[in-house]
Amino acid sequence: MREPGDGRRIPADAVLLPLGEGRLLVSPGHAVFCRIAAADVAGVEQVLAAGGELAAALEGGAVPTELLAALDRHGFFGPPRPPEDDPPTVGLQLTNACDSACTYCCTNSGDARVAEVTFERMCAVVDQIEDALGSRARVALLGGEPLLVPWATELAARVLDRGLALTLFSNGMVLARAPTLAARVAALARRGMEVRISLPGPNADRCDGAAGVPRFDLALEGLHALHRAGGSAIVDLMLLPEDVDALVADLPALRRRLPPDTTLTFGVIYRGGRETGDHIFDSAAALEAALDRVAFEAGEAIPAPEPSPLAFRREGCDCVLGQSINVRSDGALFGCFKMEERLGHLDRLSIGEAVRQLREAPQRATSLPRCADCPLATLCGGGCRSENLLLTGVADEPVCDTWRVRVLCELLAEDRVAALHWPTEHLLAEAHRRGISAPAALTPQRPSTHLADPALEKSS
Amino acid sequence: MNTLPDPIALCLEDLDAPSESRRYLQCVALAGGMAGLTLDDRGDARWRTAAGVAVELWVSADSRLMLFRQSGAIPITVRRAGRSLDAPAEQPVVLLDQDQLDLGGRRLRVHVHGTAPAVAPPAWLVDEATSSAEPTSPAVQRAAAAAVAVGMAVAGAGCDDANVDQPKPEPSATTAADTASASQTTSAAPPAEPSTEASASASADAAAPPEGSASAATSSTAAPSATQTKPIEVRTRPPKPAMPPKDKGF
Repeated sequence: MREPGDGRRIPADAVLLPLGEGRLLVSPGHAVFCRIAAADVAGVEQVLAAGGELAAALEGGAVPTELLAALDRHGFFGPPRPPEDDPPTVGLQLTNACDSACTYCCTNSGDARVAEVTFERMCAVVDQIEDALGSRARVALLGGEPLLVPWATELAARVLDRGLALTLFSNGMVLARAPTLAARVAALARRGMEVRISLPGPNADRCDGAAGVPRFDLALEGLHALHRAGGSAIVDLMLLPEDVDALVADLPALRRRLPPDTTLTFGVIYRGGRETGDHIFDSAAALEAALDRVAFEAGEAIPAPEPSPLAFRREGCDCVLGQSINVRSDGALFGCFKMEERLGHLDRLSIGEAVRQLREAPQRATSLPRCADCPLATLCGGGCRSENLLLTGVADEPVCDTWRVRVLCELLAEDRVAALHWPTEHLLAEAHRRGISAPAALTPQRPSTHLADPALEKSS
Repeated sequence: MNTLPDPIALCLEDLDAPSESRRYLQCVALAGGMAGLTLDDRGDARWRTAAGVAVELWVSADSRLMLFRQSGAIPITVRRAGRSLDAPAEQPVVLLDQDQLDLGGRRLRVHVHGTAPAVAPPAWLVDEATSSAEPTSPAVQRAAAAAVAVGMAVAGAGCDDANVDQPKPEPSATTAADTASASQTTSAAPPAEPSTEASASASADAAAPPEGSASAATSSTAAPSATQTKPIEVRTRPPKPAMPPKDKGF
């Protein structure tokens, strides 16, 4: 006959963290968590005092068998949770020049930088990607508007020639103006390049208002030009809080104007560049409420974030673990697509060397003074470093105190693992919603790097 | 000149049906303003009657299936892709293929099939005779489900467009309403109270129905609505660049 619990143990490093009701059991080593009902807390404390051994507590009835199943479902008896197996990414900003002037632009695009990268320099970068990050690396070409660069399609072809996955981000307007370019992009799309065209709003009024130029009709024309040439694109429709009514009303009409079978996604803005919070949903609850409205009033399927008893291990912000490299149009290197925390410059640092440096000394949350002893460090990873930089002035200093730990615990207790990637402002709003004592508001301590960059002076 | 939108063929699947023969109800929704398909406060379908109506199901001017909860009607929850909406009174809600309606203690899955070639009152997809024996054991249930699946395949691939290509001729409105009402009566045994787990299980069933079940036969053959579009992904980070094509583009 088998022992109660089959010899299973709770990891020795597990601790109980406070919740409104009950406790959250967390093992930082395993990067796992599980709500413990108030009635079971004493039993679990007994188990932890015994080094995690469950058999005695199960036999004595201090821990119910249902809890054993819950712990099993939450990964307490398996191997430590792995990090998400995301392929490495390389973002190449070909230019900061853009023929739109979006109010929310997170890269402050518009004018070209004084000295922008050349075709030869970007080719050299492309040629290093596989050595630096492996053949699974995925490449993104972005701007500004990358298709304003005359060699953009040649560079794209070079990426595909090397067998790397590729995505091109564009506003689509130039495709309407230049049919031959549309044909070239379509040919690349047929070779496997993903094309994503962004729309700042669901109708001409909202779109052109946010873009600062007449864009809506041109972008749709560009999509059709691409379609006629045998290519296809994904449309990234920006979801701004002020546009929800318009989105509900006009999404069906927009659908009808898109080429057949066009995939539509919603993009949610983050703080950075010209975006200082005006176009950001106040809370995750407000975002989800808006999505509910769009789903049921406009008739769309918009999958809700799914609760999960398991999260991926997150040792640190993705940008300091050596899985992502981003080259700004002036040759500056960043670990993160937000391009706020600079790593170096192509003049002095190759992307291979940058990756090697990051991987040799990854900045894990456990190495940060504020996070070192936090049981959630391997789940939260110290938050987003770019956000830390803006909100505290220091990338190594997360916006964190007992309120953040507490609200994350409450959300994890509900298996809402997506919250581990929420912006800090959404966590703060959730803390307020739940009556958790927290600061009234967050005040950025510095402007976005994109605004302060002297290289953005007009080249002319 | 304005023309009325075409009627839409749909099936209402009772997720807690007492038998396979009372699981799928074939229906046709008519253009808005025309008295047609409704549900009463027990979730039973009614046809061309104004009595006891809680919810109207009709087709909008842009050819979409709409749910319209009448003022003072019982609460109705529409569930889709992990989201839910308590249907407001007197405000239309767009329904999509695979939506779930919770009303009157019933859970109904909506299968939208597209344009209906003819108007017909609600009718069970499977005749009582096709699955006359009420299954009592798992083995009998599996056999019955298999028989239903075979029946669907023979009859026209089950709950799909092929099936609604041959609607029954429409009888008089009175007869139709009576027929629908009468047939519903036999399926009105109160289902088990849905729990969170049951709902989750139902959702899982919809995604991956058990092999050999009628659900499997139906789900695998159900055609999306003509107006159905791909789900919208919401991205809070830049989209992950695409995977390389299998031949790497060469």
